[in-house]
Amino acid sequence: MPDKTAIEKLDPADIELVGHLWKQLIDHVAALPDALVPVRPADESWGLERKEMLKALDDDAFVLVARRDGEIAGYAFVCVEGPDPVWYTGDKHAVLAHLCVDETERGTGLGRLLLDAMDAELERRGIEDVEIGVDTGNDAATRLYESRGYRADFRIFYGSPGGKPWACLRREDEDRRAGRGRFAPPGRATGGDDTADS
Amino acid sequence: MPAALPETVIEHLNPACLDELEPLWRALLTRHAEVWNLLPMRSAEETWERRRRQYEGWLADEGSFVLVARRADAPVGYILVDITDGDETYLTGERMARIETLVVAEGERDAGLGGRLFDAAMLELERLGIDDLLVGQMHGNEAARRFYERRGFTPFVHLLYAKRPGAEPDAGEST
Repeated sequence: MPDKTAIEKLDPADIELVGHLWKQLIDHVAALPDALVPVRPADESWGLERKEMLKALDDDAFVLVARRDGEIAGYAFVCVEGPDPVWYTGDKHAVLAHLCVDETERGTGLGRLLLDAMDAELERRGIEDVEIGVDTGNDAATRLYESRGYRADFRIFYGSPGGKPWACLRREDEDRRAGRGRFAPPGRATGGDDTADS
Repeated sequence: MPAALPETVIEHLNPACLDELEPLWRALLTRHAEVWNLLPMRSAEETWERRRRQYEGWLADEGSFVLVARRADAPVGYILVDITDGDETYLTGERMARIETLVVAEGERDAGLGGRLFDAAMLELERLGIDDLLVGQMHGNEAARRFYERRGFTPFVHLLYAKRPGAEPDAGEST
């Protein structure tokens, strides 16, 4: 069967086309068995993330989308930042901020195709250094990146001042008790960001 | 009878005096070079110049601060905390904090000064009403990992690094 996968750059005006994939990723992270820090409701997170993406896309960032049979089945969002202050990166380095593959397409090699396309675009731009953040417990993603030569760099820790219980867990508990946020009944999701750019 | 050591005082640093921190920054670089080797390190002069510019940017954010520990007026440690908007993904408050640097002079380590600086910064965050805090730990810096884990912090995101395939492994050195 011929491969009908195409990778192309996304026009920032079409950013909404990848929103459903971001929301899938958020739900995937929320369901990780070792997830420690709770995430926002998917709709609320997309409203916030979309703004940050558009800001970065005004600069040097780019989004690559993978289409299968014309439908968007995955995307990579790559930010471009200046040189690292300590280590000898080039004058610019890349941060793979999102790599999202539709849940029905996972395990089909789409992530690798998107990473290959990211590498090609970075080569075209003369960018040689890449950093990626992975949630603790997302072992499949870690294995994918390690198979491509990525190595542990930093750990990001979360905590609350004063040795208090984690504030994020307190908020999650309050949401659970109030039936809001990620615990809102289906069809009554709250927290969507109506101020998102349109 | 030996003379008592002068008292260590912790206080806010005026952002106009950032250059007072350079010797401590250089001490931290030595530590970095011992535990991380994925890339060669820039010269100490260059890293301070670049890091100072980052510090200036972070300190321009409302609420961000540097606390410096002084003994007999000489800086012997500092902690720089950047205050940012809440996270887009995780269930943080509207504002949160990141510890960008915590360093103690070589001769002052293992004497509790890092903990005192950290505690002073936590009091400041409580005063600011900020209760979400992130901090990065360089892979291999086990002392830092233990320090934060003892204080109730847990790693939840891992950063990975690689040279893009086809890039020269040490190409950055020639720039």
